Amino acid sequence: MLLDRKKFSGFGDIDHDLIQSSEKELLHKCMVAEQSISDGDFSVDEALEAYGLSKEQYDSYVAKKSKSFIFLSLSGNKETYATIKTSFAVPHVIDIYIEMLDSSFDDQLHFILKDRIGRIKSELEGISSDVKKLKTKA
Amino acid sequence: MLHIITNEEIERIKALGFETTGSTVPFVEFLNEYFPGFRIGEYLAALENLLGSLTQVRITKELSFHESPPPMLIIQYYSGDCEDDQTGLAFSQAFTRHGNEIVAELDYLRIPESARKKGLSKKVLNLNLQQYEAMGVAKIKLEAALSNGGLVWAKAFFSATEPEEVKTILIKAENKLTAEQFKFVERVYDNYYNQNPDGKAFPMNKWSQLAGMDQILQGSRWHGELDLNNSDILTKFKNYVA
Repeated sequence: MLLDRKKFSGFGDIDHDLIQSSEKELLHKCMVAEQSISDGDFSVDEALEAYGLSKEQYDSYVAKKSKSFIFLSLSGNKETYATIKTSFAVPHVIDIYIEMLDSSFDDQLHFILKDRIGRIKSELEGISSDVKKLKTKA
Repeated sequence: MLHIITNEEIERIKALGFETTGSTVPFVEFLNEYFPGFRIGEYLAALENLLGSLTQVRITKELSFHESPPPMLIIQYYSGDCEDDQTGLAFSQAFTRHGNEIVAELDYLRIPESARKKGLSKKVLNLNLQQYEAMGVAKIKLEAALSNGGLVWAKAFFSATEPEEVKTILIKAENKLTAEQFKFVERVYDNYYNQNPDGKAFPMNKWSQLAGMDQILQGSRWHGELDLNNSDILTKFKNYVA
């Protein structure tokens, strides 16, 4: 005979099983903050205050998340460009990308890639400027 | 390739002690028609492996299926002493099909105290998740309840489907949090419902990390849903429960 499907509640001791390490907890907090900023709940500064994050913690999260994505194929790739403009269209985030371009390569690699890096920086600065203007207007 | 359920597979399920009840159509036909891709033999054998040795009391293993719309399959696995909070074992889950969409409803899991804090709940959840992906389940639904789930499912990216329940939690937060804490809670609430007046997907995860909200959510009850067709949410959920 079937038990009443409402007879009990809860899913074992899932609360215990899903206790996260402090590193994962921080990652989760950053993800949530990012979503809140993107959805317009908070400005970046407000989100940092609301979720008890330092600017360094949040910037580090954004940088880690975006590093491979941004350097692989931005320049000359219209699809990626559009993604950056829509999904990542937060000036603060784009400014982090620009900083990363200057700090993520050694001298030799920077020399080899200098033309491409230059193009990427110009594009990012353009997007950042466009988004800032749009936000000011809004 | 989509798994085709066979009569041999059904025989193996029966050999594990599962009984089928419900519709007059053959079970194998029912599954292939409404829940194709479900590796039910593999799933139930794994469930038996995880839960079967947790009690010496007789276990009832039931598969109830109904064609009447919406087609539904209920899986239950429970011990004779399931009512006992210390020794009882009980698991209930249902799948329903709405048009082309399959919904999984996680009713409950109760495990004996001696088996708690050993990662079993997470294993059962991951076992389910494997099948959800194989079957193309669109949504997981559950009732996040009290200390066990109110906070944990919020953190696991489930959204709240019932606005009244969200409102109740908001009021509780207003009464218990400081004004400084509550202003952020309210902002998330207002922003969502201003944009989605009849919204059925309030992002509880945004509340879960706000100061003071862990206590509020731990003592709350709300109906939640996870949209598995949203690849971003699915990835986050899998990372969270992995």
